[in-house]
Amino acid sequence: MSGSTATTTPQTTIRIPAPAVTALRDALLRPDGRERVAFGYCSRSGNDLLLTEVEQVPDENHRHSSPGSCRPTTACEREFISRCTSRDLHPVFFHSHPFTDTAWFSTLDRQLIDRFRKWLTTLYPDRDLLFGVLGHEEMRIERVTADDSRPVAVDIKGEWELEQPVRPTHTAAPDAPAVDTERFDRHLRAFGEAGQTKLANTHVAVVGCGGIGSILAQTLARLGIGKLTLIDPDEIEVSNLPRLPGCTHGDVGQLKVSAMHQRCWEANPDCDIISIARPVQETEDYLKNADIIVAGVDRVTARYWVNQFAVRHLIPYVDAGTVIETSDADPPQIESMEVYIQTIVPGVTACFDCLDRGDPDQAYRESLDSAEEKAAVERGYIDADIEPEPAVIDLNQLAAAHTVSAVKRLALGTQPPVAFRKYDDVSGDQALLETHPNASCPTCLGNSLALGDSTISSAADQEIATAPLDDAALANPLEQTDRTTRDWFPPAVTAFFASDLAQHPTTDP
Amino acid sequence: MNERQIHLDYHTFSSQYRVRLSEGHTRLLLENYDYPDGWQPREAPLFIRYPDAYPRMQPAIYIPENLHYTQGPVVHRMQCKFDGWKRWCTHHIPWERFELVTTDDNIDFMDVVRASLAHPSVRNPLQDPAPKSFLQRIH
Ligand SMILES: [Zn+2]
Repeated sequence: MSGSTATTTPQTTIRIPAPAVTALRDALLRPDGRERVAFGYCSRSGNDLLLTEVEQVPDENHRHSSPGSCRPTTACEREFISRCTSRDLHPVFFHSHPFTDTAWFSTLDRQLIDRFRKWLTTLYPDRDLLFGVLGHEEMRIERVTADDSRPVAVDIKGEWELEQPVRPTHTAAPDAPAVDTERFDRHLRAFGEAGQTKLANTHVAVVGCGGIGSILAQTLARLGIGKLTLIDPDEIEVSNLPRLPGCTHGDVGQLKVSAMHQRCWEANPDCDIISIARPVQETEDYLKNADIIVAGVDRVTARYWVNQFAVRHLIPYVDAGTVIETSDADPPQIESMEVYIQTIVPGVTACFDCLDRGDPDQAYRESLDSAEEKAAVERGYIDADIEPEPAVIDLNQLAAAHTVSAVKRLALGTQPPVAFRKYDDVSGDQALLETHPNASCPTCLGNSLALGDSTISSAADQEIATAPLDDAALANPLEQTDRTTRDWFPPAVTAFFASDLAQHPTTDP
Repeated sequence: MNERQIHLDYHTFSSQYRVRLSEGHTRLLLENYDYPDGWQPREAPLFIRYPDAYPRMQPAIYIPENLHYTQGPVVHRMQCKFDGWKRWCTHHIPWERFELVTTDDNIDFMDVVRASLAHPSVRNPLQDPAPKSFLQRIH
């Protein structure tokens, strides 16, 4: 049976970065032509699954491994399941069919899957149970429940990194309406209908609707991106108008996302637009559904956060920024006008933190609350007033154009995106760089990669994560302060923690 | 925020202190932190606030506002929004290894916090001679 002809639409997608696919190939398809088993560890991200960790089962842990069948030892299988449950991960039992290019489950495979179903779905009802098979050119993954077995769509991130391409038997189903061929006539001549349909099936989250984000949002709508989520908590000020195309004096005081929602809809009425006037840190549930995140924001803490979120959920992220350097002379002279575009494909290219980007002093300032900021200024740790950075629309347009180019490449999958682009509009110098995850990155090769929705890393953590919390008491814990009775250790301190914190054993688990 | 890293911190601190963690993983309380010589009382709470982008960004440290230092001036204590607490200024402490606390012999962030608590009149414990020797002494 070949999966390519299946008519059912997979509800779930499993995201796998290219290096994990390579690790699977290396573990499973060896020159001796024997079938082998490998284990995959998955986390959940909303309805989807993330896989980055692949474990080769050594030959000595195979009960048998021949050109026609394979099976690991029972002990080895049990230990794998135990590792998955204690780390809040979901098991994928992979095996290979080195005798064929395609990927399908044999009758013997199905019988074995059935035995696992009986064993595991009752014992671990909260675990997803997955089986995968790899031929030379194809990969198939199915999710097995107590009732049935369904193919899962496979989304390989950074496919261009694969030396030998692997074709998933199932990919996310195109469910967008037919492309408006009149509106997109000139695009169809460039991307073809298949390409334009891919764009229509792509959901891009635009973080920040300021100078760069406003151009990005409108350009993506006109490009034919099917779904846009616009995120920005701020309102339009007069000083924003020179950099917000389509906005006029009448828009001052309006939320940036509302103004952009209207402009994007006018640009492409078929585009499904959601606008959220909140700080990005409060939009997790919206971002989780995005295929690509783009951000053009000033706040470095927001960029750190989006980067970590993207790495955690294996969502490609394009970070756009501009820097204008001027002399101290009066009037100032422009020395450089730089655009920085970084395309982050988690687990495949370097992330924002891999390259140690960002400004620690600015991040420190942003992390202070108003009382702390006042104290820090008084002590001379930080400057009293920070002047706004210079910004001009033409540089933002350049940044937005390169960002859209990266989105297009990611969505169409025809060309690899440029991982890092730096362009100086004064000198005309441009640097295009390939990047790779950095082994000392605190985010990507720490333990954020593909963490997904999981918060725990070991059985001992389950005790922490499941501790009760009194939400009602959280609201204003400090109002309970009794200043007349407090001694050196004020009751407010106790109340503050009693409400927000769960007590845990003092012994080392 | 990486909750797994916070759990690792929790387990490491638990071997030494009574520890409480907020469910939102934003605050970690060490109930019986052993303040260095000169602080009154020596055993008191200390709380750690984790930023959204932890461990990319360093956490903030808070000590009870009426914990007294009996041996001189204190330069690192700042007003904050938490009633009953003061923020212990750590902006001079580098956050390069992205480790709040470790089980190995390497000097970690909390070792330097301890050094600055031991020499609260010193602006930068990494530059002044006394705290440096303090760091060498404890390791
Ligand atoms: Zn990284």
